[in-house]
Amino acid sequence: MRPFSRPYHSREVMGPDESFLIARAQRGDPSAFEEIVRLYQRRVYGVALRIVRAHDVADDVTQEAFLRAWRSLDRFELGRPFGPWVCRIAANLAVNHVRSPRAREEGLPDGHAETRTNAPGPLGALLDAEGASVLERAMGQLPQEQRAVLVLRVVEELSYAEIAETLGISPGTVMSRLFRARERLAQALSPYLGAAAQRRKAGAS
Amino acid sequence: MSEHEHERLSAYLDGELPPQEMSAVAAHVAACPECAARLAEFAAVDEAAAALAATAPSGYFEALPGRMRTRLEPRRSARRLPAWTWAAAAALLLAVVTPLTLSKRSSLQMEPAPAREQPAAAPPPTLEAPAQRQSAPAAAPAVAAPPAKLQKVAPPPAAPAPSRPAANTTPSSDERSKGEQGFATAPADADREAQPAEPAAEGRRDAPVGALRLPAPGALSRVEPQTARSRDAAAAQEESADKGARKAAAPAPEPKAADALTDAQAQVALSGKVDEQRVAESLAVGANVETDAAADQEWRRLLAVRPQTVAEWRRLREELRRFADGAPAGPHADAARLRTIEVGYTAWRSGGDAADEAVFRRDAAAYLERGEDAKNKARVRGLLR
Repeated sequence: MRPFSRPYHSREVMGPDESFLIARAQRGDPSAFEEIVRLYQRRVYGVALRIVRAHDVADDVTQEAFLRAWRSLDRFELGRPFGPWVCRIAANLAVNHVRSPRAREEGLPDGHAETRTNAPGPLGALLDAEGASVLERAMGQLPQEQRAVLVLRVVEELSYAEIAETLGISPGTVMSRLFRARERLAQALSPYLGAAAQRRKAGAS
Repeated sequence: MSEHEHERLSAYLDGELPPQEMSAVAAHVAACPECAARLAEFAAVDEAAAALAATAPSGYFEALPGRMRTRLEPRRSARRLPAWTWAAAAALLLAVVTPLTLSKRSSLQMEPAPAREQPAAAPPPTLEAPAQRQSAPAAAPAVAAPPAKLQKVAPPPAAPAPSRPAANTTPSSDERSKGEQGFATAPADADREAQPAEPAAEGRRDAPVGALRLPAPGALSRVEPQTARSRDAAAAQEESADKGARKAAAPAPEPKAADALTDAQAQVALSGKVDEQRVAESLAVGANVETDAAADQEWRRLLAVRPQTVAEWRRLREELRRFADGAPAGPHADAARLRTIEVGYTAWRSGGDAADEAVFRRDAAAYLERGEDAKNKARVRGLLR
């Protein structure tokens, strides 16, 4: 198998349309910012929801992240990718939120989900429905700080240094939390992953 | 294998170990089936975790942009008016108000001003005197204010000229007439002196909240091209595909390349234009005298910048953009917008960077879409060819 299969978002290049919108928003145009929200809401909400695991909290975090982005748009340099920036604001808010008592392990209610934030991924090829729900549960049982690091790494694909900066922890802590999260998930998933890993291997050779 | 070793496996998966350790772990994994299996497990966990759906109640994403919009408070950026603008404005205000008060008092008292305020060398009262007095204490920013405007607020000539502080012997009729010709002739070094350390550039270096840093080059070279996220990005682009940039790419009739306008020409042409504008402005109402003076100064500074590298061209481009955006209806806004495009053009031609080209084309397209306040569309079209 090949490691490093996930690139970093930080290399994203801002499209001309996007920076045009941002330039307009920087001049105070709310409709341009509305467009920006439309472009990034799924991604921002996805990060927030995966960390806080409750829709109403994820909604709060998402709105607050966009509001803060709006307020500090002046400091945003055109040409930089906007997505990672706003997602990191959201991740930071989400983590601070899950640190607060209100958000203790509310968990995702079953079947509330109707709008997917991402396209159907390769999960079907990797895990069956049962495996997916086991994974979902295992994610919910991770300590929040491990979950946040895992989400930033595997969903947002940030580097250790970026995760460390976003969450205000050291890169060494990022490394160990990520490892622990992977260990726990691997343990929970081992009956399913064995087959999946075999399939991966078979597919790769 | 110890837990520590497994932790290294996890970091190896992310390409986050120092180079020697990376190769050591790679060698070990190649020889150790147990660790190879563990690594495969970690990778599968990641993949599965990333693929888990994050879903929202239906209708949520349809409503959210509108909801957000209603929560946006009006944002007028403080950075558009850097701190020194206010200092300059305050200095000018003082310079204008003080002589007015003084002259009022002396005319009321109908008696000679105290001797200490009346140096023997003081020239007889002239029309120019009040204006000169106003300029002197405020230093460069105030001097930059067009004389015509100052006369509007100056005391009427009939009032007895208040005494002048002995220090204010600087303004000569020479300088006065220079001022009347416009400010293109003002010495560039004077501008430099009065100008505080680049407010705009300083703003740029402010790291945005949670600003991204590029990953280490080593890490970059090891990762493969993006899949899932670039799909998202592509979809996002499609959603807004009809925004400005397309128009920018519209083919111009006559292909004519880089030689269209050299930068030096552009600058000369621009400063000529500035003078015309200034005459018109000078006759306009003096409501914004203070701000204008500061803006004039900043504008002249921007015109005097001589970039040497692509990065400097880019920086100048963005400074000009901020300047234009700071006062979109200001006296120099149109010239600044034009100059943003020209400088952007130079940045692109000298660096050959596609991103610079995109910025240039976008700026040009936005300019061509403007209304009557865009007086240099022909020149922009020329650059586009």
